[in-house]
Amino acid sequence: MENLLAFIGRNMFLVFGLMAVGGAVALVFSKNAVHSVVGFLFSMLSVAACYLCMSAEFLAVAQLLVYAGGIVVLFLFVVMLVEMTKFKEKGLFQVQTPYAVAAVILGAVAFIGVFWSTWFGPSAAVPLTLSSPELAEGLNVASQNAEAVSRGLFAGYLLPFEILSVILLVALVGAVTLAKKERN
Amino acid sequence: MNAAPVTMTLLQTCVMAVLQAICVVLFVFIIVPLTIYAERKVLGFAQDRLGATRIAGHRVGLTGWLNRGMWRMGKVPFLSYWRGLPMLVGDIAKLFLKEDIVPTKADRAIFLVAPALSLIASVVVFAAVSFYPGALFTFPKIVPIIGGLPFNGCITDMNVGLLFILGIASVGVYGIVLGAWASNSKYPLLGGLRSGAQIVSYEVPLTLSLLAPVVLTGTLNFNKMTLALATEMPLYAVPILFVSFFVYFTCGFAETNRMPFDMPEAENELVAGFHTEYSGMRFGFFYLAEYINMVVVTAIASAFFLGGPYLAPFGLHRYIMHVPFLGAPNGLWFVAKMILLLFTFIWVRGTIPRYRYDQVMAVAWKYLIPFTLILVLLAAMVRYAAPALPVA
Amino acid sequence: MRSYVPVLLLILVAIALPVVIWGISRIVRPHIPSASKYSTYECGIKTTLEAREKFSVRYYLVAVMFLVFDVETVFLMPWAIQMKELAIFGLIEMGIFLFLLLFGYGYIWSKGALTWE
Repeated sequence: MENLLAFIGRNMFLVFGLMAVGGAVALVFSKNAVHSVVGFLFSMLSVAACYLCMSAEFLAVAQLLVYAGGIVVLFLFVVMLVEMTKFKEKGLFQVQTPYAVAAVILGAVAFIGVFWSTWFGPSAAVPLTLSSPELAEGLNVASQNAEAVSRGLFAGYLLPFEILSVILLVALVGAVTLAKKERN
Repeated sequence: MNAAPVTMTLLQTCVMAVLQAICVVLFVFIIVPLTIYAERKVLGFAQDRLGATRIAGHRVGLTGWLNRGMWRMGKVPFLSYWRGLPMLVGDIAKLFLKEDIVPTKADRAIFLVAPALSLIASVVVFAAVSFYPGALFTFPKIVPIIGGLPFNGCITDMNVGLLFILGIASVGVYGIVLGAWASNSKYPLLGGLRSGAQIVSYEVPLTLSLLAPVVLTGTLNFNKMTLALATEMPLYAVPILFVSFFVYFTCGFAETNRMPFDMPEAENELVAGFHTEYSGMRFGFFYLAEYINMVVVTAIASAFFLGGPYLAPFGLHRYIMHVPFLGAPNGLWFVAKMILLLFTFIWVRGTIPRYRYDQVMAVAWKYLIPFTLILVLLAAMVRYAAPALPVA
Repeated sequence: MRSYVPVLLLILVAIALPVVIWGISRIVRPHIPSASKYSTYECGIKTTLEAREKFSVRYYLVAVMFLVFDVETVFLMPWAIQMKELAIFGLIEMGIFLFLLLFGYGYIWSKGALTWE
């Protein structure tokens, strides 16, 4: 019994990973846009569980809050707002095909790059740690996940963090501008 | 207080977890019908009437005889106050016995999944809620598998407990929006969209109002936060906690779609809001989820602002820490505070009229968000200023 | 992640809960179908037009604003728990972050995005 449970525990990542892929497949292949969003939600929740399997507690809850709780809501609202039937008649989505293909190729290149570096690069098999030892001082990175993220973010990656606030600002301004245009 | 960590085998962990999960479900199934009954009664008294009284035969039995006698003497029979009690059973039986109706135009799959999603999200939140720091009792050795193990006051003592609660709670909104969409009917759709926008709007000030306690304690762990908030706060943190509590509780009303923020159900505009097309047990799931969400809101308010298992609220507990009995943590205090807050939910419903929708949105975006940001700033100042505050 | 095993089991119990309740109610409840019962509710009159119509773009705006502030709070949380350690450096950093965000907040307020018409 104990061995069986341990075996299940070791393979939980695989289970959640497959669930995430299943959600993603449902997202791509379902005919109804709202069903796609449900698939997306399922996928995002499974990804959060995957992070948990990898001992990244903070990342998992951040995934829950931002993706499952925020981005999917945005998707759902947008999907509910547009009149799908009319878009189909006008064939509006066909216009985007070349852009979509380009985005997929770019994404694929990026992913292969990431996988390449994690599988064969110098960072392979490095345990969970912060970029410099002085950052991790007095901290058990494995159990104090949120604290480690905090130090890494605010001390290690200062500039990206500040750039992020600019991105958020752009998102706000852009949304307002678009909405205004839509109403006029 | 915190016993030495007990090492458990995986099987023991699983059995214990299932037991605790069942306890959570039982707790919910006891407190929710009681709240529904209390709501009928308290609203009744608020409106100068007796509330539900007619369920137990009006003329039969001892109580019926006593009641008739008192009516004859020209007095309101005190037993009438309790005669609605079987209403608890009646409510549940009604939900079970109603026919299940799915409109032909509805999206069948999502129509079924949405209410269940609401219910599941509201129950899972309890994983991180801690009713008591440490063990409530220890199982006797005779019990198979888990004999000799402590039964803890929380399901799991996770390091990011608060964020987990917020994350899972934010999934609850899908139940409402998807259910509204799946109905494919005008009133539910409008109600669901309104509700969705309202819930996400109030999630921001709700999170920010909980940020002040996080800033003050420097941890996200539920037990550590409760302990630090009750016993380690300097006196000048008390007003900050008090104001955050007020903001948090206001947002709690909006998050659970309760009066005065019950926009999705504004019945004179939208019939019944997002669950107009729902009946029977599917409606029951939404109903249950709404009340469980109320319980969750009160549990968090009880733990972080009213001291939770520690008696004195708003960080004042350290003054009575060494008083025997009152100073010790007790799960009963936690539940008592929850019940008090649940009563407040009903009390407010009986007192304050509904807002207009634009007012609701303005309160969230124009007042509460800047207000809570200032609170966080003040809390940060307290944290820097207080040398005695421990580093968690 | 040993401490999350109970969470997984609670999720399973929570999923079982509606399934079981649903199963019980399925046994006891009546089933008497009729066409008008399954029609869409519209105050008793005949249903006209589709329900899934175009909605105000405000809902989209609220969702975007929520998302931005949601991300902001997620970044505020790690700052809050390590505030003492990050000291004045962290405060300045968060100050810049919040200033930029509040700038955007002021902008959308001035554009009337926070006012629901």
